[in-house]
Amino acid sequence: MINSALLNTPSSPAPLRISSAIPALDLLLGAGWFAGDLHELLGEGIGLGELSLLLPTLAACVRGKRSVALIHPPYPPYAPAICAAGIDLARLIVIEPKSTQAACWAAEHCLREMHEGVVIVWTQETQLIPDVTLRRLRRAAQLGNSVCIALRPLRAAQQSSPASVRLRYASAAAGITVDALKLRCGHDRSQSEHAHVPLAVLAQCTQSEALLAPQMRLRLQRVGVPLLPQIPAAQFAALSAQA
Amino acid sequence: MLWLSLFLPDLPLLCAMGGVGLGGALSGKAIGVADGPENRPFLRACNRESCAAGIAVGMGVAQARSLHHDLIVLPRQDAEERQALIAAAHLLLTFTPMVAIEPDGERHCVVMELSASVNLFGGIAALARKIIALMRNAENTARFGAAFFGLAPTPLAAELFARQRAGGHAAIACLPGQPLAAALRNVPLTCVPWLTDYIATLHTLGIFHLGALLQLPREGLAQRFGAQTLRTLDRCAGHAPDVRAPFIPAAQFEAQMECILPMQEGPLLMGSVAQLLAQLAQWLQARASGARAFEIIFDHSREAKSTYALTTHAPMRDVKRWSILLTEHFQRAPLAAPVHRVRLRCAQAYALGNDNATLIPLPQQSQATWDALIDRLHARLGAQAVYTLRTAPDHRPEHAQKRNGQTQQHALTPMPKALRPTFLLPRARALIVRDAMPQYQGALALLSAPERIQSGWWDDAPIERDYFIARNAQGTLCWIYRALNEPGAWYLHGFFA
Repeated sequence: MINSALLNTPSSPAPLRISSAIPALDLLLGAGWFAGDLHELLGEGIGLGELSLLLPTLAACVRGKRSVALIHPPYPPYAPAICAAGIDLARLIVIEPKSTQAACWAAEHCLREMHEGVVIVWTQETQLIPDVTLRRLRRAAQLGNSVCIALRPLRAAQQSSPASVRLRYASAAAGITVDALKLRCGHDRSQSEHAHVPLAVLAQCTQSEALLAPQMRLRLQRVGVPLLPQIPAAQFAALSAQA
Repeated sequence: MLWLSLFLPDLPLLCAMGGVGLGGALSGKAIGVADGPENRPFLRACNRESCAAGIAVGMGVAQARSLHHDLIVLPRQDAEERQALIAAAHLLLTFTPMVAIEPDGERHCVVMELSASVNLFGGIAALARKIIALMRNAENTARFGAAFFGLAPTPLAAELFARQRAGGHAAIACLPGQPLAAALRNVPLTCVPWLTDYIATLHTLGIFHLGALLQLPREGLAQRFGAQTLRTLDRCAGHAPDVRAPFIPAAQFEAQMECILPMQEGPLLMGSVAQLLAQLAQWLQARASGARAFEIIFDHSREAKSTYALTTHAPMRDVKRWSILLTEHFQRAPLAAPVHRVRLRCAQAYALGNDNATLIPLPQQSQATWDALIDRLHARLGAQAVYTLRTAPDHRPEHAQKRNGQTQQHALTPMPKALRPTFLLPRARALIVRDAMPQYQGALALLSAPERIQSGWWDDAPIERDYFIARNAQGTLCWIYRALNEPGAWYLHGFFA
């Protein structure tokens, strides 16, 4: 017998959705992340705001007394920032395995054991991980009804993947843009496949810049701190317009 | 009072054969276990094959050899017999808190008082059936051999009934309300362990059963067989109090298992370890607690050994989960050399947190599965690789978080609401400075006003820094700082990923 849940068809029962808590991203995904499925987030470079896209999901998940794992992050996650995002640290584990292979092993176990949890894994692959590993991750997510989000390098886009959702992120003037490379069948085609997510960091920065009193600017210049001259004029205009 | 006795007659033979470790090779041969003074050893026990040759317990070794030339005589293992009795007591503590091992080690008998447990287990019959089923299951039969039971109002009478059953006589039990004297009347004297020295005399007197002995005049009995014998008979018949010291499990657990042949890892070695773990679980069960940490010592030779300390997130006594953790560990770090002996040591037992059962089972993950997951990750990836985060009340960014442990509420020191990066570098990285501006994969533009952090004069890590949020052309959001005591030097400290 073929398990109907295994088949990626619209006729299978509507899967549980976990809202990303970001309106633009929810619109792109339909209603949120798919519980029991693998998602890929492809992008180049660290620090574009990719984790900020996921923190609201984690916060919602932890509020629902479910668990969250951060696996193989490129740098140690910083507790005060994660706490500030509204995540109860007691339900979050960080796993720093030594290799991509070990990371996938750990991710599989977490997905299976954390019922309806969220697992974020930075694959940090030097060689693209094989299809079978991704399939195992997807299967583990299905078994635990958990959300798996794999952060992979952009060149992985050339490889085919069993993930039902593949998103590409890139930096934008006031935030981060997300493009859908692949969406789950049954997705409403009329919806946009492009989302722009403003980043709280940038919003707060422009605000503080606007509030910065002229005296303060003078003082800073006196101690030799250059102020924002490096942002191109057009970009700055866009920033102000956003604010 | 309702005493149940457990009599394990095969223990000397099993322990002696276990010491040699050739259980399979000895099958079908006549075996005896020698005990007593070295110049005149006698047989403490013998197997069925030697009995068939006419050899009996109590016979001198020389005499037995003359009856059967190929008799294999093994030395008796007192310590192991004692260990086995303790293990049996651990098992029986599941049913009642009052378990006593016969002080005389030769008797291989454990007695337990059941009157307080009868209602809980649903009657005497149900309770006795449960105990018998436990002691006669495959695992315990392999360990303790045949088990015989007796039920009586006094511990000595219970023991006699068990021995009578072991001797091949009809089973007798004396339940509460039934007269004990009537039940004791037909016990043959050969089954009474404290009369073995006088048995020949008694038989010549024409006394073959306990009933006849009890009818003799007390003065004469005391004169002939000693006041001690009379007192024991009184205790047996319930005329004198029989006070037993309850068996209390040791505060620490230690067990070992010899390997028949030196073993590298594999199912055989895991089998030995699993047996030790089962014993540990029984000890913990007897103490109504769980273990949080224990160590397994593998002896490779006289000198060389390797130790693995297993620590779990919460106290537990689950052999299956321990086995999974050990398997994970040995997949990661295989043993260096073959193993001759495995030892297990547990220094402390912890109270086991019992979960409340829920009326409606929720899909949420229980604490137990969460602990199990963390233990498994620890075992496979190493304890350093898996951690939880917590915040700490310190303004210095590198001291504002700690690994593992509970986050406390810092009511007195409200922490700044300023933006913090999601990734913090373990060590700040010096940035190249070009035209007084820091560079990270291109020029960095400062996006925020400086946040000055000046703190830590009280310990040896004071900092004086101005932190900025900066962004380069690729859009990387960095947290950088200017060290006030190093003019012109810029450092990268984190990313707003």
